[in-house]
Amino acid sequence: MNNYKFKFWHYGLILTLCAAGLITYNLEASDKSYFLGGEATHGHHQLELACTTCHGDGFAGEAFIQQACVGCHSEELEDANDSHPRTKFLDPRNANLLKQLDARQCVACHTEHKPEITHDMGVTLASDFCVHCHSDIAENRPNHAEFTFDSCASAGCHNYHDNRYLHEEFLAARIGASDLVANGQLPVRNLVARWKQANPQRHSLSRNDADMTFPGVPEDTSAGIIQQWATSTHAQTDTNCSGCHVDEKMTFTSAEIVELCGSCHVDQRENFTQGKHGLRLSPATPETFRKITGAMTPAEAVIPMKETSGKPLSCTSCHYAHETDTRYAAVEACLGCHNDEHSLAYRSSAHFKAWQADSETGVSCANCHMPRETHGDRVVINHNQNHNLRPNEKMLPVCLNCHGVEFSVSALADEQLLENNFSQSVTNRHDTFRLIRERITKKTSSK
Amino acid sequence: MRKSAFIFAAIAALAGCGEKSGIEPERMADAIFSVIEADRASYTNFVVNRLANEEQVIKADEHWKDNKALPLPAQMMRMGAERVAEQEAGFNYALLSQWAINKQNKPRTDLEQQGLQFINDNPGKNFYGTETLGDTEYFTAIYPDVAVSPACVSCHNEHVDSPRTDFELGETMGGVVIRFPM
Repeated sequence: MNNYKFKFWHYGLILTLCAAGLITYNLEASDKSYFLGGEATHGHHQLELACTTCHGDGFAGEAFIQQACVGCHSEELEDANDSHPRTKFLDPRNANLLKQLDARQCVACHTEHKPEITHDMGVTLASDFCVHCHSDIAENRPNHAEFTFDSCASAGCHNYHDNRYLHEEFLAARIGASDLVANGQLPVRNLVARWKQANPQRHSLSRNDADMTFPGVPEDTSAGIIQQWATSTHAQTDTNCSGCHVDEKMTFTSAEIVELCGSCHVDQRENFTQGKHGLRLSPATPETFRKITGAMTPAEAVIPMKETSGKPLSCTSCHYAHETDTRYAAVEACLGCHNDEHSLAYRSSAHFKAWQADSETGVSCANCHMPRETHGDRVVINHNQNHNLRPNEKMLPVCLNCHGVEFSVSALADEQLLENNFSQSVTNRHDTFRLIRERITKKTSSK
Repeated sequence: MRKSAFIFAAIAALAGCGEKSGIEPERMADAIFSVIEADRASYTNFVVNRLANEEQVIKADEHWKDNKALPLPAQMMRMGAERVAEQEAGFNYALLSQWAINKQNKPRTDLEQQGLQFINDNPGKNFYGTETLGDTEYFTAIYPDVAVSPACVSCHNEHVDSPRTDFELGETMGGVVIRFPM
């Protein structure tokens, strides 16, 4: 063996076999990261290794990819009353327009894994893309002649998909409202009150009702845990220790926590796994992916996070397991991880000062980013913190609880104000309101 | 000679047997239009005009979802057209007008221009033709869309973006365009 003379091609063969083994291992048993064609957009980076979700077996065609987009985003687009649904482009009279831009396919505007050409909202077209179909806008709306096509889809003017809060009638009906609404307030949470109303036969629990002991845990620690639980909404709603610690299970993974909490808090689990905090635990992702990658950690985020934050995210990242303190969850939990300009400026803002004085009338991080939504007689906290984030006019229903529309749209369109968390007054009023006033005058005079 | 004539006759007869007898595109388009027109007139008269104008119990509004109102008749028709297109039913239809409030519904192809002008100049007549859109040839039929209710006239005459404000009841306001790929 010692006398065996390796030839050059032997080394080549060994190297090739090693590389092939490594690649096969990565594909079949590991996270498939060798096959990543380029960094994914901020919206999909948590899922960039869940390849089969979008690409099927790797050879699935355009139709599969389109269906993957629709599978996750169709509900959101329907809620948004999509201004450019795919169905709008199916009429053959659009054939010539589709030659320039095939708006029937999501990937025509949102090509993934192309960071070098990806703009805001994951758009991979030049920012004047509206010109393809609306080149005659100045002829139809002469007051738009002064604008350039790269400004159509800018904050406060238009969005391609979601114009619910930007269309003329919506703004015209609210124009002229004062900047600060008198006695403005967010919808009042009513989960516990509704539970009590629906379950009159059940009663709140106290310390002595706790149905678990903690063998091996120091007495002061277990007493502290029981005290936290006894003051929590769980004790108020007749949820005892064994409700969560089934079979006295004491340790949980992030996925198990989300599953467990979600067995009662169904809406919250659904929303949480739709947003960036919980997307990796979404049932829409392949099971093997969830097992390999686990829950998202703050360190993997693409926006600045504090170095001290690192554990995989679950319900208990923001809500203590036993205390369920929503004040902590609404501010301290967010600022424990988020380290960007907007987050760091929050404590200097008028919103924070008001919240410190009174958490019912003040504004926390969660009040804007996890809005209280009214569904019939239910007020539900939307736990998808991306739900109203982009485009940011989606946040207008929250702002309008306390502010006038002109003030709100102008603030949301001002990048400096976004960065300093609205710590300055809104001085520049958005141009859209000049156009709206012109339209109101025109409508009045035409009658 | 007699033998050749016999063979020719036999081939012609066999060829005739193999030919499927179909419906002429004009007849098919006319039938589809009658359904569209009946639904459209019924919705306009018995839903929108009755509830919004006569009994005034609910409004019809472009932003019907936000304002918990009835969809406008033109929107209702477009919703149906989009559903048909999504189902790839083998034909498409659209409501267009030379005086469209939404400018995306103005005629775009040469045949649409020609057809809408024809039905406007010749009340009660339809227009038929063929055109190539993209790589596909289409049979295109255009039917007059007539103001069947006071709601049609008042809304179009009063809308700030309407390019024409002197419509009268019974007048052609636009056209229903039906297309089949050939």
